[in-house]
Amino acid sequence: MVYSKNDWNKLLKMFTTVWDAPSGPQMFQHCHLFPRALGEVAGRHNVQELHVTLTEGLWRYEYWGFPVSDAAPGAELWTWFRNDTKDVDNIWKKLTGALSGLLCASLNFIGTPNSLSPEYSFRPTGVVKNSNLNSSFVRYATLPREIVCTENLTPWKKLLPCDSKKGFASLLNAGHIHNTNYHSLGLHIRPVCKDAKCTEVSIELRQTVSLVYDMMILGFQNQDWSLRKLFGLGLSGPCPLATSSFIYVDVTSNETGTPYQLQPEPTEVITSIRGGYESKFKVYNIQKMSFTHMLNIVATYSTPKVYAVNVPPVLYASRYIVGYGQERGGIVTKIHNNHWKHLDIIYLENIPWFLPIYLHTLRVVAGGKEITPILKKYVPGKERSRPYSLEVLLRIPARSVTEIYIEFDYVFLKWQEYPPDANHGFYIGSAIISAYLPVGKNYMGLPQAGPTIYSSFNASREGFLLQLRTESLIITLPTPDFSMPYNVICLACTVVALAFGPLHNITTKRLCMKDGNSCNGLLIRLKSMLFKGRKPQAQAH
Amino acid sequence: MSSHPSTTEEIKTVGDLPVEKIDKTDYRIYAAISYFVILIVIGLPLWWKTTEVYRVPLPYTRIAALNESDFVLVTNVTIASLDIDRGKQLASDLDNFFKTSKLFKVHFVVTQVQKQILASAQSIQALELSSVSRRQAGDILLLEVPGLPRFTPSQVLVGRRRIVYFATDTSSVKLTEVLQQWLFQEETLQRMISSMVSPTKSELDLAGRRRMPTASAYDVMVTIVNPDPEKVQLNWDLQEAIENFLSPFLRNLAPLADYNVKSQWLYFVPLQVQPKLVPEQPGIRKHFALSEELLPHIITPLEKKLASHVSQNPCLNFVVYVPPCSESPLYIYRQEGVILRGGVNAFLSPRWGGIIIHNPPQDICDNTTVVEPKPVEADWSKIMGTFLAQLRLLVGVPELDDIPRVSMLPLAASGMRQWELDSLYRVRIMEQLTSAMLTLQSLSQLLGEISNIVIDDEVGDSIQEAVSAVERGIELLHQGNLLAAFEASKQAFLSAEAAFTDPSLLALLYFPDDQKYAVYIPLFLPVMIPVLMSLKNIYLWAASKVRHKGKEKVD
Repeated sequence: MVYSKNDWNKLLKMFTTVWDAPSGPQMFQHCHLFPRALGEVAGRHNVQELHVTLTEGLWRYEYWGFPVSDAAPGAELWTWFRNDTKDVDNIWKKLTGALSGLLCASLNFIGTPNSLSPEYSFRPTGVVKNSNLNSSFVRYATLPREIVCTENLTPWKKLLPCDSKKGFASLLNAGHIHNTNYHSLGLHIRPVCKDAKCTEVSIELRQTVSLVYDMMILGFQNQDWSLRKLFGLGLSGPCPLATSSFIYVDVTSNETGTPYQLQPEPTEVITSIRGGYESKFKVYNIQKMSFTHMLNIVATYSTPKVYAVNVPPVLYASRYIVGYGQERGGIVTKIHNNHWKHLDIIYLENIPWFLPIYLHTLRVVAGGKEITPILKKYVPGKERSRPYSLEVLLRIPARSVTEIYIEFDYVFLKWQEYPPDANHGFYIGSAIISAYLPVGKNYMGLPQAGPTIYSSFNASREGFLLQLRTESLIITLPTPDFSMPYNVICLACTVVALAFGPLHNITTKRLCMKDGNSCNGLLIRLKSMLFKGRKPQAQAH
Repeated sequence: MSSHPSTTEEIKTVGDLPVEKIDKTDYRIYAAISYFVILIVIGLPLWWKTTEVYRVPLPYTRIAALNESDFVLVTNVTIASLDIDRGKQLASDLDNFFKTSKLFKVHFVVTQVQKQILASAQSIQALELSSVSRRQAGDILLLEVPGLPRFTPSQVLVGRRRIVYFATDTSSVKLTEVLQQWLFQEETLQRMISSMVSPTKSELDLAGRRRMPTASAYDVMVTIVNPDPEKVQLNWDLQEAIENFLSPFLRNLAPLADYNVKSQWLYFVPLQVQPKLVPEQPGIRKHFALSEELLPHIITPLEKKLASHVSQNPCLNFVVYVPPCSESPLYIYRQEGVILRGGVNAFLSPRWGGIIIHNPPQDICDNTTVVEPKPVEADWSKIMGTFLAQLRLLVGVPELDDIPRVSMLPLAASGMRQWELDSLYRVRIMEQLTSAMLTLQSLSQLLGEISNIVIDDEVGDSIQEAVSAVERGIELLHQGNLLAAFEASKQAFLSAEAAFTDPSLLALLYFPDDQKYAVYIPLFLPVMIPVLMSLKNIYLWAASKVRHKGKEKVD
């Protein structure tokens, strides 16, 4: 399923869904469309829900609105284990190891020392049998330094039943994907209801790709776009195993912004009203189209681009480091609320153990006034075994910028704990802001019940669950000279040896006068030995 | 007199009284001795002890002794004949034949059977089910059936359980042959052991090369490959077919190892080789030919999708490949112009698994009224029958050579004869014991060669466990208890492997000696040289003391 949207900054998103419905105790033993490799990993590790995203670049909420599925820069993984799981930490470690092999990412560096169990921020997205949830079964971790590349895309594509041979996945060519401004791969497993009454539960796997193109950076002179321009080739047809294949193009901005024409004509036009905001989509039903040659959807603009004033979305955030020197620092997160009413948000801070934060320095200020958080949940970190986790429930006032400030210390690490290229700095994962938006403007997330974009049309709810990820940060910890230990050993040994020599001499030897004749030094003895043989010769002469 | 004389004092005292001089020398020598004691006598052993690699004491002698212990399979063979004297004669003849056997020690017991029992039996099957046939695992009953020609043209008939039926006129040579080649398979066992002990010198036989290496659990994966789902549609209930055909057989093998059956479907995975088109000829329809030499190239692209990211067990792969109509029928050719044996369109890859090519029926392909994707039904009995035959070979039940006028009862639904299971037990016991022994020996050799290997308590325990399990296994084999010996050998194998592959062994392996000395030398060399040099002074002083005392005594 492809979903594309043309907005302020030329962005296009693609969205693929596969789902399968096995159930029962051995659900991952026999696989049909569900990828066995992933199924085995999930089954073996007692996984109830699994969400992995691999992202390169930063989603700019202020300009691009809200994404369909949000992802933190780098690798992000969160999992709900089943309630009967024993020794969650151990299984979590094994799971990350298996996933790292499956996706060729460094997920194996995730373990207890960098994983959180947030109480409020991550609730299961699928069906839950037991309503009292225990957050000790959830694990969340990010690897902000992870670089996403072709080696992740290939295994991701391999999980699709049609691989990259047919269907939308054939568009994903590494060369055209990695020159985007933002790209994000995702895998989401969750249990869903098989029928309306929910008597049976099946497993849903959602594989997502989000891409943001900037036509200017790609070197095109105008803003016109087409499948061939973006992906290098057209679409050859749907995956024969898919039950539905659609391409949606958001044409809402045609009426307000720069209008564009689409070629060929879509099979359908849909108007969706969601949360009080209307949007229009042109729909291509790939399965109903005949493929005599490659399908290439072309958008041509009749007028040159007009740069209008950016209207930012209801809620967005940014984050930065303050302080100077290498002793104390602080993190500031600015949350912008553009709504006319106050908003309740949950703020999750994920700080690695090597940056001890001080809870008493936590200050939340909005418009010069300090706000008291409704609730705070703080799990202090432990060196080398647990990160600092802070969840704050806040009510941020209408049309305001709220600042959350907290202080931390820089610490010294053991010399083996520094990563290669330690002077590059250390990453701090993004903070997560969860909110329940009352309006659907700019919101493209999927409703709880549906796995496809189609289910988000006309899906007005009381509120829309939104999660924002802030920027990840980089800090420089005091970094030693790594050849130092050896130098110190050698120097100390030499000093000890130098001190020992005279000490030993003073205590065990004495200085005495000897007359020159009796003193047979080494040199004289050598000389006499050398010349012993010569003397007879000299005499013979 | 001060105990720490200054140098100026020393110079002054040069010409002083000899008594005072001797005293001062004594103090210096005492100092030198105390340096020596602290640094060499106490310091050096302390340093050695604290930097020593931790190692639990290991039973090296017992490990070395395993080599000498002989693996002997004690087997009880009961000869039941109508005439006890003839039975005794047979027993002594067979005993003579088996005296030369290195691996087997066969005890022959002679009993007499009542004629009524044999006479009342209407068929061999009835005899199979009678109480006579219950035997302990590993034992064999040679039963004389006077009227054997009534049931079979063969002279000797091997049953499904642990009975060999023979006609009255059967010679002892023939019986030996049956026991040696079919039931005991000593040749196979011996070649397996020698190929493990000296892999460069001897090779496995065909059965050994096909057999999966020993492990505590295996994965069995059935994969259906549909290279073109747009043209061929398969609505197969694979799960049910596995349950019906493979599971009963695997349940039989459960005591030997665990088998986890998995299945998957793959789409758009084409053959990486181009089959040759054989045009229509008189008598031969148009078809595609896949030569046998190309078969390895089929496996390689499949491998990408067969690997597991969680299971560490060896995997037996079974692949059904359904070619689209445009490329069917596809046949495997053994050589130029010869279709593979018996029209079975399948091949076996030793220690890997099997592939079967399931051609869509010709009438569906030719029928143009059937729209694409064309539905293709599965011929499960053919597909699973082939897989079962391949599975038997991979598990380690060999194809036996024919012996003239000797036959065996056909396989039952369970797919295994009891004596086949027994010989599989013997193979696994021998393999596991030999492997455990070799692992332990190479470990002890490694420990001797590389001083940096750590052996912690846990590894030490599993080595102890493995050694005693090997010894126990050998002992149980001597007692003829096949099942218990198998358990012991499995334990030995697993413990030895666990000890050998434990990551803690490598904890210090990458801290090489030269670096260690590079760190220590700047300290040790300048400190040790003066201390050692002072030994000479101490010696001279001690010698002069002794001489002095001797003089005093003389005085």
